[in-house]
Amino acid sequence: MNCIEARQAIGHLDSGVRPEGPLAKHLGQCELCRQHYGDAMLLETLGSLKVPEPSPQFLERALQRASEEAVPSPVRSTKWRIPASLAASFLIAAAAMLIWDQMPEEQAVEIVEQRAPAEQVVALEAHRQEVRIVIHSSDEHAAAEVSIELAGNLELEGYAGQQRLAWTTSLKQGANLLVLPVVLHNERGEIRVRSQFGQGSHEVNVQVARKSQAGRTAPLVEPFAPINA
Amino acid sequence: MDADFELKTAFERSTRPHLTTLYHSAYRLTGSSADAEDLLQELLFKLFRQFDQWRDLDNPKPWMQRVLYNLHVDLYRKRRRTHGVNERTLDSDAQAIDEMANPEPSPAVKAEGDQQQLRILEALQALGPEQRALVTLHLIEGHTLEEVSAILDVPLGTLKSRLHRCKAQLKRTLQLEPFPENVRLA
Repeated sequence: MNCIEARQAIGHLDSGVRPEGPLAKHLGQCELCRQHYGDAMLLETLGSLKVPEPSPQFLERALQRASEEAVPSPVRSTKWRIPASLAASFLIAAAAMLIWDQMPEEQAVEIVEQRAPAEQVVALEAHRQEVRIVIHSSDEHAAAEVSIELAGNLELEGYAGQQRLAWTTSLKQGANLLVLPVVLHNERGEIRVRSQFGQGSHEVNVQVARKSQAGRTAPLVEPFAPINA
Repeated sequence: MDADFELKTAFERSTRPHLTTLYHSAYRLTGSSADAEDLLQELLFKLFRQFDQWRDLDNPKPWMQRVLYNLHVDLYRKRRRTHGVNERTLDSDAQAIDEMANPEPSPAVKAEGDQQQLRILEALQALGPEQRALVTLHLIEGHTLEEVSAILDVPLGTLKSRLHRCKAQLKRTLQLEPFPENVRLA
């Protein structure tokens, strides 16, 4: 048997049947045809892997959740607006939406306000929750620079491994909401939100902790270094 | 019409046709229904956030596959760091196979078929996430290596050498050699 005949024979082998006779003898002598046989069997075997169909209910639910809970793109979204003002009249509020995937929003949101420079503690009841930052501004600004830094093994869902995110956005007068889907890998962590525009800048540190840790008086995480350090 | 509603409708219209295919890919990458659902949900979150970046593409599927692949690698590494490699995946293999829509075979044939399915899933799980993505996209889903190179953002030469190693490992694991090595060498 030559190589052409061997490859035709391989094409006619039934699934799971070992080669015999002249084909087996040829494969024993020809490395290239042995590789061809192995490739053909591998494709057939992998092709036999059955894949379950997704539940239609799951697909509907997943689509709905995606558009209701995801944070719009920080780069180009028009919804993500941080207000900016050169005046020092910033008011920053951080809110943890407790048990956010089970409770109606109006019952679940706990809002605490503090004048900047702010140090805010937010208690989370779950490993993954939303932390809402509301910044009020007295006027509009076309191009504010906004950055978020994460410490204490925190991350934003969808931005795995990124400890710093920065972007430029337009700002409107009044209250502007930033929803951060926070994943907390430890008991505690810290988010620093900083905005900069014109000659002014501002920042707030939001410390997050699991519910049981939030009431402790000891520092929650290793604090960030000073801004210009 | 409300802008949010329009955005949501446009997102669903762009995404819905690809959901089943993406779920199948997610299943092949993760090896279980539960993990595939988690991965698909994460994918949809991310696709919605990035909607402005891909909504005008003529064919958004490669974009979606790339995001799926990157999320898969991220989640795999995170899980490996925190819980060990895919412990949940292997636990749920049998359940996933039970869920597959196919005619009811005899118990003996079913048991043998399930064994074969488990062997394939375990062989795929034994690969790293990058290798599994390559095998899934190229050997199972039939994308050319050039297409896979674009989706995974990996040079073609790297893919070829990676594919060679993957095939060798899978053949060993799945025992696809024509006869045992000692017979061949005799």
